[in-house]
Amino acid sequence: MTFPIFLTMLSSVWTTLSLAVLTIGISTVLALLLVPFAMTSQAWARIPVSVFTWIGRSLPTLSLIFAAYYGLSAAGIRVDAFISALVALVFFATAYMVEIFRAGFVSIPFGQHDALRALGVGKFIAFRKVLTPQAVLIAAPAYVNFTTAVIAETSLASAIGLVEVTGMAKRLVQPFPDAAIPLYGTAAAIYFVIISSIFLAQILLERRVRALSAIPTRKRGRAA
Amino acid sequence: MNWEPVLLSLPQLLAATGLTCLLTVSIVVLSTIPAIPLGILRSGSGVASRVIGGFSWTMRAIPALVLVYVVFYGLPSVGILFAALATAIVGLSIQATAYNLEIFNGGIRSIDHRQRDSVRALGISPGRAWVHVLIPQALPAAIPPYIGNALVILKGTSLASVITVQELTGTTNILINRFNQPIPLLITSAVIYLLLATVLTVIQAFWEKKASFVRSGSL
Repeated sequence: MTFPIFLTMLSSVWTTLSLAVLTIGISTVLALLLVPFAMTSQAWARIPVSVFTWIGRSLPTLSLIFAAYYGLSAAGIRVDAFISALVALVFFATAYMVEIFRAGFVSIPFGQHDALRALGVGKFIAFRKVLTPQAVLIAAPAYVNFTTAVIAETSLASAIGLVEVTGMAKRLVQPFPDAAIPLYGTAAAIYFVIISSIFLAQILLERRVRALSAIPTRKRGRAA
Repeated sequence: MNWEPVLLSLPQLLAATGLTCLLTVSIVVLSTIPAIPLGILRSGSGVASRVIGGFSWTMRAIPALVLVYVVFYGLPSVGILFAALATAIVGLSIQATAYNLEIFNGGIRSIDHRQRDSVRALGISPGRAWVHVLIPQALPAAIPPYIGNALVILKGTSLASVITVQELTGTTNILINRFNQPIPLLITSAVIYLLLATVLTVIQAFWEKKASFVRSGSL
């Protein structure tokens, strides 16, 4: 594989990163809006959200991408591969993130709710100032882990013709069939570097947080 | 909405569902067998644990699709010729092994370390200790993520469609192009995937009940 081909591969990183960042940003906002509904005792609000997270987590991301691609155009909405992939990935990522955030809130000891009520703290203030900061800290490792999964899943957009990193390798294999291994190897290396840097950042951050909270902990097992 | 394409292609959809199930079961089995010894080694300390940790780090940092392509083009270049189906099973099993071994490692680490010391102090051989004492205790913590990974495997089988294996997603695409009726076909395939995912949830519920019984019975 020559140097110009390597540069062409690198040029596709931008598409992968913008797809991943947009997916993560939009899904995070949507998931934070949906989380209160996922935790309420009101069935009319909770059940639709749980059905959505169940579907979003049970269907293969690749079929969601095909569904968005064929489904949107069948519904008369003309969108390109990037938007189709973005819609599908947001659907998938929001479903997971709602569950990640919910788990963060649920793991706060229930006594805190009672304590806040006993202290006469309003529900909104309690959520914003007391419960959310704790839930964010608890959910952070799973959230960061999941963002790496989102980056890996953006590769599926190549199946509907988007030329991100995997799509670029696929496109370059056609004129250079003998270079299939170096091309896909380069793609693998690009993902490895991006995702590993997030893993490393996570390890360093968790070390910082543990040092700040100064709670003596046992040697940490790997995050699931 | 015109449901005729679904009715006409019902035999094909059923065959494709069978293939999706076959892929899922093969990958679950093929990734569990090596993951048990690897997970036990990973839970220790030293070189073996580090090397295995590096393997699972790498597998978590590379998309399954890229891995499937690498295996698809890589195996023939070293002289191994597999059918597309076998290629998909190999590629997806390698990655699933990495996830499963970390799940087993997590389960083992959830056991109180004094248990491992006691087993040794009682002079129970390592093989018997693992089979009768340690693994039964590691199971309850490992079952939910293990089934969660089986769901990831089920969803991942859809990637086999990119290397021409006509499982459920691949067949749905072919039928969409043939009939030009995407919505009913997409709904049908989604319902099938949801049913398969529900089967896994039911397995998890039964298994957890059984494992918790074993745990409370043995202590």
